Amino acid sequence: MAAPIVKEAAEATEVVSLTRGLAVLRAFHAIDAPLGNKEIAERTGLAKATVARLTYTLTKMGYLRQVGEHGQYHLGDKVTVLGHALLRALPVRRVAEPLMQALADKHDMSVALGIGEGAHMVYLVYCSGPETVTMRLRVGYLVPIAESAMGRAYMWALGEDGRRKHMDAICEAAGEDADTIEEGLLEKMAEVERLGYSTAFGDWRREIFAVGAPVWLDRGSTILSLNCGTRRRGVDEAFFHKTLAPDLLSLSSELSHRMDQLGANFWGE
Amino acid sequence: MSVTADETTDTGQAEEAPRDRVRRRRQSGVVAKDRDFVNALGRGLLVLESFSASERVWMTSMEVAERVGLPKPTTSRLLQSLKSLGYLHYSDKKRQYRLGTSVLTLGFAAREPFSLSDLVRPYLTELADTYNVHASLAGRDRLDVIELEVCHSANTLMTLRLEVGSRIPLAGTATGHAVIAALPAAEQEYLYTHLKERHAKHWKAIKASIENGLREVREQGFTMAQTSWFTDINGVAVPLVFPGGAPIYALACGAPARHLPAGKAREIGQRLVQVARLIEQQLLDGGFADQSAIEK
Repeated sequence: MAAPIVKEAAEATEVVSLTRGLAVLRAFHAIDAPLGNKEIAERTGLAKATVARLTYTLTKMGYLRQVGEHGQYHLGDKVTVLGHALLRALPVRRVAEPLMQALADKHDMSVALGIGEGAHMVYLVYCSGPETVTMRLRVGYLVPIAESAMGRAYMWALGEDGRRKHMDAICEAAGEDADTIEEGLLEKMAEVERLGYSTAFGDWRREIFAVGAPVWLDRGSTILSLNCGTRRRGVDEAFFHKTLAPDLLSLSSELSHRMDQLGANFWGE
Repeated sequence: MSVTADETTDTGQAEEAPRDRVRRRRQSGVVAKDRDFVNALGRGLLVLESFSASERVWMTSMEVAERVGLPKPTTSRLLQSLKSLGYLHYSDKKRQYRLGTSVLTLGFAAREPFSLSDLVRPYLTELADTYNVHASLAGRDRLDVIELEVCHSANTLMTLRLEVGSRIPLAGTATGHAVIAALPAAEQEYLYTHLKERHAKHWKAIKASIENGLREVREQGFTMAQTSWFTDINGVAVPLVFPGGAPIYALACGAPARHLPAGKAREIGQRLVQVARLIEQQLLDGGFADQSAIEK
């Protein structure tokens, strides 16, 4: 009688352990120096003793490594290997890269392609122009959906059903500000409805100006999003509306078109 | 702290690969030896990384189970969990799994600015461009060498098809020999017993070639392998050791044999030795530390 219950409980624990272990890896952000167990515990909301066992396991498995005299943790090689394995197996990257690079070169701006992950967009491809002042952005970078041109265009294109889980994640991350953030995002999505593209003039990072456009692949069953942006250097908003947005929209349709022509789909099915 | 205590109890099996550990522990049902190791997490990671360890993009539940050596029900359950968390993607059409885009959120971008790869990349570019070779940073994963950072020569016609994540054998390659050379003697012995199993047929010749590699590293700092691996590739490599003695990597250059005659390989070898010292010095000086403050 008791056996199946015990088994079920053990299986539930298994999922919890796995989720928590991966949450430890997610706790590292792009700007981070190595973190100690205490800092990881604060970020993940897990007990320090739990974190100690998870970091120990992750280190043994090559996902973390210990650095510095205080034995703090930083991400290990396996994280990179896993990321590259995914990137290798996304056909859209090869098709998008030359098109995106051409646009980046033409306007000397950075151009990125991303997909939604919870409250963020994650960059799948990133190209920068020859003289682009580095914004320290790269593949794998996470930008908040609500504050970025890429995220706003993505949310609009997802439609009611698709956007719900992202909206939940955004509201959860926003905490007390959830209502304000949601309202702001809906307003910005209305702009996409009107213009066909989104804008973010210093909303995410004060110095970054960008336009965003959705990309429809696989007959609309996969949605991605593009952005084109720069650090503000005497660029006026009209240029984004009149020149960059139309260019980005044609890049989007060119990308869908080429994928169709090649008979390629996002997941390489 | 418990972690330190555990490491002491674990030294007896310090060389055991995580995969073997998980398998052994599963079989023995004993966890007392390594109480801090979270088995469920270890197994989940094994399942996840089985998708990065091969050229196969898609795998069935059965294939994954075979690859990781876990029972099928356990594997299926872990695949399901990883799928619902977004780290794997499942195709109804193919009835197979593949990596999902969420794996990029496991710190992929966070790792980059502080990674050894970043520190090494400019040197690899210099080597690749100067000598028209494929230059790489590699680490060890069990009996393989795994490419961690690569740079192709500007002249792409002559490059090798090794990308980040590609594997080459530890035995018989310059890269592999450079890694072995930097390992402590006890670990070398352990490796030999496993390499012998894998290369039972040609073990004598392979052992001689490894020993030759170790001698070259001892005498001149670098090792060369002529027409190694797929028989048409020449390589030259040096060990790269973190301050304090671990982890251990190799810096290597390779090219199709006709483009990398011994004289040129020797010249590259000497440069590789210099580069390795420069990188090790930077690691010591804290070049590995946070550079995010240096915004342009």
